[in-house]
Amino acid sequence: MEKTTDIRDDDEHMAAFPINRGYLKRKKIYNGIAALFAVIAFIIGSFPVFHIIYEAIAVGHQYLNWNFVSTLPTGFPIGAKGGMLNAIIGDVYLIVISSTLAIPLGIGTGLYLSLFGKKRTNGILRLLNELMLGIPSVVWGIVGFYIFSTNAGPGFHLGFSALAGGLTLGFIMTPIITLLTEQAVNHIPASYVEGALAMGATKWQATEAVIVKAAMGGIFIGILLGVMNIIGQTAPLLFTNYYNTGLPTGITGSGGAVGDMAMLIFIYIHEPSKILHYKAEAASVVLLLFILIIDLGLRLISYLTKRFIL
Amino acid sequence: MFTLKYKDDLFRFILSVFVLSVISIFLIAVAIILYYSYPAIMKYGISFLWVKEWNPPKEIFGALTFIAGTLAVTFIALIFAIPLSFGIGIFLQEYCPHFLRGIFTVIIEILAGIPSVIFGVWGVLVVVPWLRTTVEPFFDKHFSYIPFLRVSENIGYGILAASIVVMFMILPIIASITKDSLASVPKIAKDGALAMGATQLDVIKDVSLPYALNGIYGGIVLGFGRAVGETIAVVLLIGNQAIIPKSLFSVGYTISSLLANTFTFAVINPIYASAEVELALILLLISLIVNIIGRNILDRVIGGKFNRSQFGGG
Repeated sequence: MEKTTDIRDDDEHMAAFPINRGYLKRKKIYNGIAALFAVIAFIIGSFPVFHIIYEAIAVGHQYLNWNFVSTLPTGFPIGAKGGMLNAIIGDVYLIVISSTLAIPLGIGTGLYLSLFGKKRTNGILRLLNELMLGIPSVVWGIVGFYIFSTNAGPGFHLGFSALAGGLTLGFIMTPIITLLTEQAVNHIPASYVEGALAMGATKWQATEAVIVKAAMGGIFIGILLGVMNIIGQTAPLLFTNYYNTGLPTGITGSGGAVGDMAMLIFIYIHEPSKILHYKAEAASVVLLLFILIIDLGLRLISYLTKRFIL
Repeated sequence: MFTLKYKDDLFRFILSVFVLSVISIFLIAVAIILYYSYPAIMKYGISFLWVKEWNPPKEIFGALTFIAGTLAVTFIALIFAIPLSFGIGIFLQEYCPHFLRGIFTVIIEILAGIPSVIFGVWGVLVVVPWLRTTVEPFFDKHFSYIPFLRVSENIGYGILAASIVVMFMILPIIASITKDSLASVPKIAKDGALAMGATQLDVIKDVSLPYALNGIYGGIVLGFGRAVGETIAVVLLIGNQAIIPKSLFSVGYTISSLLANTFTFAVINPIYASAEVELALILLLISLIVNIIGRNILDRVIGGKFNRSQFGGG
């Protein structure tokens, strides 16, 4: 009968490869320390997510009622009484205006990149798109001011208005939609498009029949990400729209400025008034709620269309 | 057939118009910044970068104070953010139990999506009082002999408050890129090391990190770009006084917060406005350079994989 031994304890076999058990133990301890550091880093990193939401609710909860989202701000300093209806309506204006600019531009550029682009031009276009993504929002604000709002020099002379602010936000939104559209189209299995083209379809027919359907989810995700980004923007609006405590009477010129949730929070927290600070936190809860709803929408679309590009 | 061809050409034509519009938006943006900063560049020349004084009534403009403030906030935020986001990325990709990875990643993505004004409010109501009542008295008591840590005014606002909040804003970018870079390491290389008896730490140190390091550099570069341009949270927290910060707790002023606070007044005087636009030009150039470098590295390492943490907030 053959003798079986546990090779780990068999000194005869392992003599050539001595195991330093202390060394192994130390390695395990180091591994544990590294894991602990990683866990602590994660806890520190995720702490503000919970604390920001907790603090906003704890400080702002007394103003969180239907009245707050359905009335205009009144009282002195303005906002001490009433709610934030001006900001919610204003955000709707800004989202509609910026989407009107950014959705066609973004989807168009994204489709061009994936359908018609040559390798060389694509590289340049993609770089340009990513550079646009990286431009700080305060710089976009200055650009928007000189294109749309200024009364002197060349430009559209729209004043501080919803149209000026919305179009500036549209500049920020466009590269996001472009990026996601291109990603979505590139994720379509090549056989779908090739199949359509092989059947004699033109690129327009292929787009209409195959690509739009298959990439719809990704394109929607791009639009929602863009909207989510711009409702949090404050800096570009400082120079193009600023703020309106009432409802706009138009979208250009005087009376064309709109309220904005992020702007409202920024202005309220600047005021030396406790009530306004509480209201800024209450408004933060409302803004965060909008953002979380959009985020949920993103994940739902991503899940339903089986496109895990998020 | 004629109509089909016609439709296809029309489609292509419309898309080309859109593409040209996007290109022209970018070029117009750069042209506007260059055009309006030109008078200041001509008048003050290169010394604009190292003159300390910023005096609008006398029309003396030097950017040094604001460049120093911007770099201080950016680098301190990065010093905090790099090890933390490193840990987060490693945790999410290597140590985290599989069934928790999804939900934990969502938490970091939500952090990326919180608008900067809400970070600012949180900073004003939470971070600043904490610094004022706990951190600054502690450092004042024990470390006041180190100039870098001296507390001159115990007000809570200042470089450190702004850096802490900016740190949280750039964490998700660097962390998620670290995670993606680690995820791009071939599984077979990691499994091979594990099979040879390596611990997870050995695998991270000797297999994953050398492979993923370039991607992580890319993430740090993009985080730097985001921190440099961060405006609203910094305006609320840095104290907005035009002095060159000498201590971690001193107040200061950054390029972006100066623009946010004074640009609307500056436009009345063309040379004042031009000096401010020149500051914006500095921001623009930094962001363009940083993005070209960062994207280049990332394209090579994780193949331009979509990462949503890079454009949350605002």
